[in-house]
Parts: sequence; structure tokens; C-alpha cells
Amino acid sequence: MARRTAGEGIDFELLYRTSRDDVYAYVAGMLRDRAGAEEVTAAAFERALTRRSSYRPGRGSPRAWLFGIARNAAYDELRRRGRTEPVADPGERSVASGDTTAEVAVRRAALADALGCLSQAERELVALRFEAGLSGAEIGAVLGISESNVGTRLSRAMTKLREAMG
Amino acid sequence: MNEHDDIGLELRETRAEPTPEFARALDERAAEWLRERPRRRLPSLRIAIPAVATAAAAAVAIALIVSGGDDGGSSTLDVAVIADQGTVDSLSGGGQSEREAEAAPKLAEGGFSAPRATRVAEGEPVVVRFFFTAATEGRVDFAGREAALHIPPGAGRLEISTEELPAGKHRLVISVRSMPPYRQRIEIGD
Repeated sequence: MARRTAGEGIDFELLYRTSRDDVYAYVAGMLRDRAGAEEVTAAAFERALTRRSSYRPGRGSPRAWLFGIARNAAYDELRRRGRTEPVADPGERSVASGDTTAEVAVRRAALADALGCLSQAERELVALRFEAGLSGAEIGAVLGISESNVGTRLSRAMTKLREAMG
Repeated sequence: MNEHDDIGLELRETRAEPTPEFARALDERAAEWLRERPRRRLPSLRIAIPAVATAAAAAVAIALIVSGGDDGGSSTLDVAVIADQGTVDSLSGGGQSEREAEAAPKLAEGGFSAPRATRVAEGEPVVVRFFFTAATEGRVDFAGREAALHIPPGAGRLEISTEELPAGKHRLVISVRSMPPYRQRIEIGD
């Protein structure tokens, strides 16, 4: 279904196929509600398609560019709702599924709770790295910070998360 | 980040996933966007002429791609020249024939009125109305892109595409022969 337009440098279909679920996971982590995540994910891809000529390879990977758009869309939604921080609801994180043991389920529940201890910025870093699977360089491009700064902040956030889990 | 692998893996495994219904719906929308987008671009002149000829009944809409000059730097801008009524020549700035150019009067009186809106959503065209007593030629510069213009006599409007243009404030300059350039600040945003 996709097209690669000369000079635009992005195979949008490939980007969509490889990033759809990652963008959703990241946005859901930011908004913490399914309906909002669906709306913003769709808006992010539509914006990306509309603005695809704005992609500059020198400024990062297409994924980083896409996540930058998704991030702006998520913050737009948060602003629209009149709040700057996501609701405290842990959201739709799948703590347990049919084949998880009780031990795993408990650990995952602790993890979900521990995420609530992170600041919005820390939560976002963790989501971009582990839920969306972005590299340090890509996260740096999304957030406008250096890769080494990403590593430092992420390490701090993960330490905090681990401590919160006990 | 190896020391975080266990938690990282857990985070990955427990992340929110789109429902199959949403994923399917989004796939369909994405396919639609990708299918439609090239069509949303204004048709090329060669296609537009016969299409208009068959549909030239009431208000005549002559849409054309007006190609910018090949300056090796700036990109082209899509501008539709739409006459209010009557059949008007459809021209391409890049492909206009010498005969047509010569046929255009040297001087045309008229001008442009302020755009309907100086702030448009991304993808929405900037609409600038015009009236000229005779056909005239000119150039549109907008957001670093250019297009040559051939404006037919009479009233009508220019629809300047904002597709693929970056959000933000941009300078619009429309230059035609025999009069000072028309200038306007246009903001593209959601």
C-alpha cells in the first residue's frame, strides 16, 4: 500500500508496519487510556504522512522523526484535556495473561505500580527505550538531548524503578 | 543498559498493545491515506484539460499544476488557478507555449484580495482571490517553494497547496507583471 516518494527518503509503508504497535505502546504509556491512545496514534501517523517532506535524514532516523510527531500529538492531547501530567491510572498494561504464573503476575503488578513512581519525563524515557524499542540515539533525537544524556537519565530512571519494585 | 535487561524485557512484554480491531482499522486508514494522497495532489495539466472539458458546465474549475522554475534549489509549489465562471485557458507555468505567452496582454489591471484565512490547517490550501482585466503571468513564492502562474482574465481564485509544507509562519509573495508584488504572512498549523 505504501509509496516511497522520490526525495522524501521515507518508505512510509515500512515505517508504518514496523512502528505501528511501538507508537501505540508509547502513546498509551503517555496517555494511559486506550481511546486516547488510539486517537493519538492514528493522528500521529496521519500527521507523519502529511509532513513527510519535513523529514531530514541528518536529524535522526525515520523512527525518531515519527516518534517526535507522536510525542507532539500526545502532548497536544494532554493539553487539550487540560492537564500536563497523565492520569495516575496504570492503564492497560497486561500484568497477567493466560500463561503467566502467579509469581510473574505479582512481579508485573509490582512493576506497574513502580512505574507510577516515575516522573513523566522518566516514564517517557523508559517507554521510548523499552516499550517502543528506540535506541539511545533515536531517543536523543526525539527528546532533543544527547545520547549520553539519554543513557544517564535512563540509568537513573531504571534504578528508581528497581528500587520502587523492592 | 544490560543491567536493565530483565526489567526492560518485562516492560516490553507487558506494554500496551493495540486491539486487533483498532489495528485493523488503522491499517485500513493507512492504506487509504497512502492511496489517496497522490490523488489529492492537483492533477497534471495534461490530465486536467480533458477532464475539465467534459465537466465544463457551471462554475469552471480549472485545476492545474503550476510548475516552478528549475532553479536547482527550491521545490515546486502546487497552485490551482480557478476561474469563477466561463471557460478559461488552463495553463502550466512550466509548459506554457510561446504563442500563449505572446497572446497575453502586456498590461493587466486588477490584483489580489486578502486570503480568506491567513491561518490554515496543514493540507488545506491558501485561497487568494483575484481579478484581472486581462490575462497575466506571474510567480508565487511560498514557504521556500515557487510556482509560475498564468492567470486568466476575470475573477477567480488561487488555491495554493500547503501539502507537504512545514507548519509555521511563511511569507507568501505573488508577483505579476505590471504591479507591485502582493505579500501576505500565512500560518500553517493544526
